[in-house]
Amino acid sequence: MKEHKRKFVKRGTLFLLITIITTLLINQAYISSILPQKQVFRKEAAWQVDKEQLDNTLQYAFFGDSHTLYATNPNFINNSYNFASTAEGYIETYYKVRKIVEIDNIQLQTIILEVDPHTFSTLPRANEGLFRNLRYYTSFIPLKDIAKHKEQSVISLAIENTLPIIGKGDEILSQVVSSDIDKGWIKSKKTFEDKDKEKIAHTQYKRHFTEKPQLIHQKTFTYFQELLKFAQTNDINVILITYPLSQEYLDQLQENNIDLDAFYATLPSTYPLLEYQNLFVNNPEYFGDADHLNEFGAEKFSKQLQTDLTLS
Amino acid sequence: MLFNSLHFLIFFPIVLLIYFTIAHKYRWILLLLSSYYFYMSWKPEYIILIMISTLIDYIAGIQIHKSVTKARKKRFLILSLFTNLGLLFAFKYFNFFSESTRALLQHFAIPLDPMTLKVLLPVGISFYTFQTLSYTIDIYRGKLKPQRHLGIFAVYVAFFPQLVAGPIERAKNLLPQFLEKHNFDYKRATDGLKLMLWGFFKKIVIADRLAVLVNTVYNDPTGFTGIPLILATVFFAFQIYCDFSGYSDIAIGSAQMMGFKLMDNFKRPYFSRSVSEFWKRWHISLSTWFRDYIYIPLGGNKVSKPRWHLNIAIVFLLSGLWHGASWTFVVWGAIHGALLIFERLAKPIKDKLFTSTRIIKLPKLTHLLEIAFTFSVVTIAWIFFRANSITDAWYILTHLFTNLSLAQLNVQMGAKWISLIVAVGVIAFMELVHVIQEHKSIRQFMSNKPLLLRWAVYLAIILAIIIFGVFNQTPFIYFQF
Repeated sequence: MKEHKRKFVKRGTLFLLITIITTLLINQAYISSILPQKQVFRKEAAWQVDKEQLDNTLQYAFFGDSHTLYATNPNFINNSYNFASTAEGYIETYYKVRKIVEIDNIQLQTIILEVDPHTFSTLPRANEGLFRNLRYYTSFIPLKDIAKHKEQSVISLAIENTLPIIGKGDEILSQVVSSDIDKGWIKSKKTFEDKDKEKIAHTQYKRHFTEKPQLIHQKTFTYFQELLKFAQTNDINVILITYPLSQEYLDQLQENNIDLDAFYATLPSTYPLLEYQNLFVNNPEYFGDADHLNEFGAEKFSKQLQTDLTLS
Repeated sequence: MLFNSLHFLIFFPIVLLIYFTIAHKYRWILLLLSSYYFYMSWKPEYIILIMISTLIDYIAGIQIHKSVTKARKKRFLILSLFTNLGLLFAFKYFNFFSESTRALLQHFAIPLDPMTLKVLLPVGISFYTFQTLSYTIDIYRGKLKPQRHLGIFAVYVAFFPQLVAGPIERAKNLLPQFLEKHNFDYKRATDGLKLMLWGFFKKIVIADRLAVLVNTVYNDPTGFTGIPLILATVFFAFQIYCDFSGYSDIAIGSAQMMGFKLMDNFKRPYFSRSVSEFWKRWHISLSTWFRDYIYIPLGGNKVSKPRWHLNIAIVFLLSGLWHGASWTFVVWGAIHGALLIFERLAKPIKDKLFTSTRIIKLPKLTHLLEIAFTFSVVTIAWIFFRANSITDAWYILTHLFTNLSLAQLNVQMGAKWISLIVAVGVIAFMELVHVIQEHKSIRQFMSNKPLLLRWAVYLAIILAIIIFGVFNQTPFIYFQF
């Protein structure tokens, strides 16, 4: 029996070592060659270069998720920058704004915050979706804070952070699409008008809302309020904004009895609200899908936004 | 505790290390404590249910054996049946029957607001209930002697590798193994490890990956028609197989590492050439349980034809209900019962058809056709198993072949093309392994290969789990039963 045990320990240790070394090597290759190609890391790298030309002040900073990311082209809005990222919620945005102000030392004059119907919805804000690009967030948020938000153990998060390769097979095979980043804005070349619009709108709606839609995810809303407090403390103006949606997406909201009036009534009335939901309901050519603008939509929308911001 | 959790990856090696370090006479204590800890890490208070079952069946077993008169034996058997099935009914079926009664009376305009229990379904209750029932029934039948060591009997009821999702072991097979002294055996341990590895691959890489795609469609079926419905249904067939057989492999493998031999639970069921063969290859520990404790006592096939068919129907309705307290499971069971009866009735016609078309002279083609037909009907039945309601299942069934368009399939299923391709790829890889297994044991197949190649294969599987695994710790589907 001792012979068997010895053989098992000897071979097991050797095999384990080979496994660990191979995993670490592949992980390192992923960290150095694939991870930097991901949008969030490329955006951060671009921001670090762009901020040098800013004179430490930024007039308009846009925050939100993919709606903001694709819709706001800062080239058409004076002294502005698009900080949005896909699937971002206000817990992430709160830390991000603090990083820009406290670590990057940028004086933000006005932050423009997305308040679309799905922004506080419970479904996209589930814990597992939080801090999706963990390594990006751990560069400025303590791991234990993230663990608290995700309700996950620090150990498992530390493993995930050290070995970002875990579960990323599809990403490696599909290659990260290197779309152009321009002052934080991502150009969408997709088209919507030639597709099955109702179906796409339905799929998108289902990504945003549960069977019984709950429009306010309390934790996200709390951090939205914290962000407003932070803005107040740091003399930052706040503007709330809703982005253009396709007619088909709005139909989905209506069919599912989403009470938008009640939702907007919950938002603080002390801040100006710019509403663009219905801006392009007759222009499917401006959408990349049911609720995201493409490059043409972004240009048209950003020009309109510049005018409105100047007027306000 | 989930097998696919960090918790288990720490727990199991510790148990294993202590198990082979301590003397044999203390091992039952370690197994009992670790099994209770394993169960209590989910919901501690529900361990009481296991303890009640253990105590009642321990006493009932001894009393049945001791009793001289048949009437007294029966009294203790009834005590065991009443306790175990009573707990099962209260925690699993009470609300279902209560709700069904309310719906039925409402149909006749009789208003009733029956009581419902606000309880969580104890994980694995159907599994350990059936396992302990087989113990007392076997003693009653004189096939087994009772275990007088309460501790060892308690380990038999709560043995952690198979406690929450089987295989449902028979006392005759498992109980004596707790009395045997297991020395560490290199081959047995590495074989167990390999089986666990394969189980993890099936669960984390295949089942949990498919779950994402299946859930998108099945949680909102009316948003889909045609190909996405077909694809999600076929994916579910593989999801449930990989989820459940993956669990069984990890259970059997971990027990094997400690020196225990649990029964096989799956034998590549989708290679079955008939529905009856499917049930000899799928969840074997449950189907043999129903055969031995329900079907044969009802008369099996040694009765008139109508009675025989009735026996099949009863067994499959009960099997459906065993899976879950919902009409979807009852219908799923009924479909399987009907398929088995139909298969028996249609056999002469099928044989005649195969002979007249001379297909019978092409045995490989015949097998292939039979496999394809069996897989199709079993997969269609899975619709009822997975659907959230009968209405959903009916919608899926009636819209499988409408609007058969591949356009924007990935967008429709809310997934990237690469996820669909990887999903098909991993299923194909598993089936390739199954094709080899149909001809010879994979262990045998691998043992002839050089060590370097073997290690490369194991390493590739581990890396596939790490890189292509879905790590959201999805519970095993069969935990809910």
